[in-house]
Amino acid sequence: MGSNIKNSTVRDNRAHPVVLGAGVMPFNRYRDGSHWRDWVRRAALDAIEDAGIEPKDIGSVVVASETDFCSLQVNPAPVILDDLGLAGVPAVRVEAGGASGAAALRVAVHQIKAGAAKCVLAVGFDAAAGHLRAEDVQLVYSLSFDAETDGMAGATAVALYALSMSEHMSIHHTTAEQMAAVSVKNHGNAIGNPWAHKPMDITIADVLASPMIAAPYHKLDCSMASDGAAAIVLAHADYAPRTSELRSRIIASAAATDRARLGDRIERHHFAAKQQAALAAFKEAGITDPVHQIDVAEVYDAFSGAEIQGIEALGLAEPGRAGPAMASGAFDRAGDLPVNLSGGLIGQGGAPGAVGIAQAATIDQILTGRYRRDTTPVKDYRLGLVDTHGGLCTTSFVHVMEQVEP
Amino acid sequence: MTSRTEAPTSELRLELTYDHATGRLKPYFDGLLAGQAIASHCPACGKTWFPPQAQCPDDQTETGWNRISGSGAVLAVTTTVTKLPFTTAAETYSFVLVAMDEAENAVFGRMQSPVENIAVGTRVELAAPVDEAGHPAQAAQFIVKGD
Repeated sequence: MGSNIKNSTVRDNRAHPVVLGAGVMPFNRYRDGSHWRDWVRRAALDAIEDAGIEPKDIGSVVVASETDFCSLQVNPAPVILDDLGLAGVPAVRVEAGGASGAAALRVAVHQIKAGAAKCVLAVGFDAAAGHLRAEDVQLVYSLSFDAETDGMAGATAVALYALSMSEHMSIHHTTAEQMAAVSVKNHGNAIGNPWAHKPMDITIADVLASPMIAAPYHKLDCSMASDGAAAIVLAHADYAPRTSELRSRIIASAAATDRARLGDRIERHHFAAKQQAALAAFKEAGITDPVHQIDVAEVYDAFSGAEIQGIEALGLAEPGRAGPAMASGAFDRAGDLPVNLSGGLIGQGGAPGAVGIAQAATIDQILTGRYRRDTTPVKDYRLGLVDTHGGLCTTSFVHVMEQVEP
Repeated sequence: MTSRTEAPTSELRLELTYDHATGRLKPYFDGLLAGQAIASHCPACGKTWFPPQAQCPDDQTETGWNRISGSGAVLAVTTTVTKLPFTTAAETYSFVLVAMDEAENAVFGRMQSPVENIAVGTRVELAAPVDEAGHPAQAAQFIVKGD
């Protein structure tokens, strides 16, 4: 890649952006004196190094973070650029709740496809765990629903997800054991993952014995707030450095929204926005049979039941069938369709601005055969799905990634 | 890296005071504070929404206001310990989604006191709030009908 790429113009809207590299500052609760700018810098520089480019090759930066109440930095993009020595590069900050990172990914994809830039750095972060009290984080996050009518009334994430899932359980007879199987799988998948916040070797009995937070959710059904950052470098295929290695590219980016208030939805147990985004993404990617065509997926699992709801909304299981399939191991590491090999939000962690980008980084490494070779089943993964949402699946993003041979 | 050490941190306290307006939702909140259900009503299709909709989601007509009965049925319930926004202490609350009899949608609120084994379909009614609300939305409080 040459240094002149910033000033060139791309007009090929058919091109699918190629992933050049990614970096992740591990999800954790940092109380070591480090600042989120340190995490972002590390993730971004790791991504640039992984991409095999120079910082000067970056033609645009897209920054994601959920809330300035956590970072204490309004307009974070310029300070991030300063920390990377990239002042002067066009930059925007995007926000879509827990899907902020996925929103940044989508903006980066669109910038490349529109010809606005040939090489884009998308970087997401949040400081949600280490330097704020849990009750303050809970208050801030409750404002990510309809703050006026629901958040101010006391609606927390776990309460709203619990209300939604309780209806799923009533309608589809989904069981607490099936939900616990998600927790066991995702905590277990996180074992050995250097990016993971909460790897655990647990059983279904452990999940069911953990304290009840908001029925039907026990403590171990819930993801946790994490600190962290993630970055990814995308480029137009024509400008990607030549390589003899496998790469991945993003062949679909779709988004949809649902009613912000759970009570305004006709089917409160169903993630309609996710279904809409998935259908659009599959159409864009030419996927007609996702159950058999998708090889691996990272699915947004803020809570165990949300993964079950998500798998069904994505069309990876029939309505009401994801729970039994989960219990039978269909989505396990060695199952028919591995879901959340990273551990997902439950096992890997959830810094909202970073999640969607870290999911894409995981899928990129899986598709290119670089992901945790000690634990990832040996299989030719060719098509991967990245699913991220904000709110109670109020804002949904689905990306489809494909393996690219040299 | 998770242990609290003598790391260079500064304890900061951010206190913000808002003169927070209720805007177009004022009739709704005034109703809640009085234990009444003031809903939006679409003059074109006749549908009623509680909580209100500024524009009818079906035909995008600007809605007006209408008082409804305040009675409804529980669609879902969960009980949790939390600190309501802008209040001082965590308490146990039973949060509910309630489909009001006349409304097309459902409202998020809480039972006036925590309840056990409340069933889906239980008849409830909006009640005048009994505790000090951190925000008018916290006045969306229900009691089992007939209590």
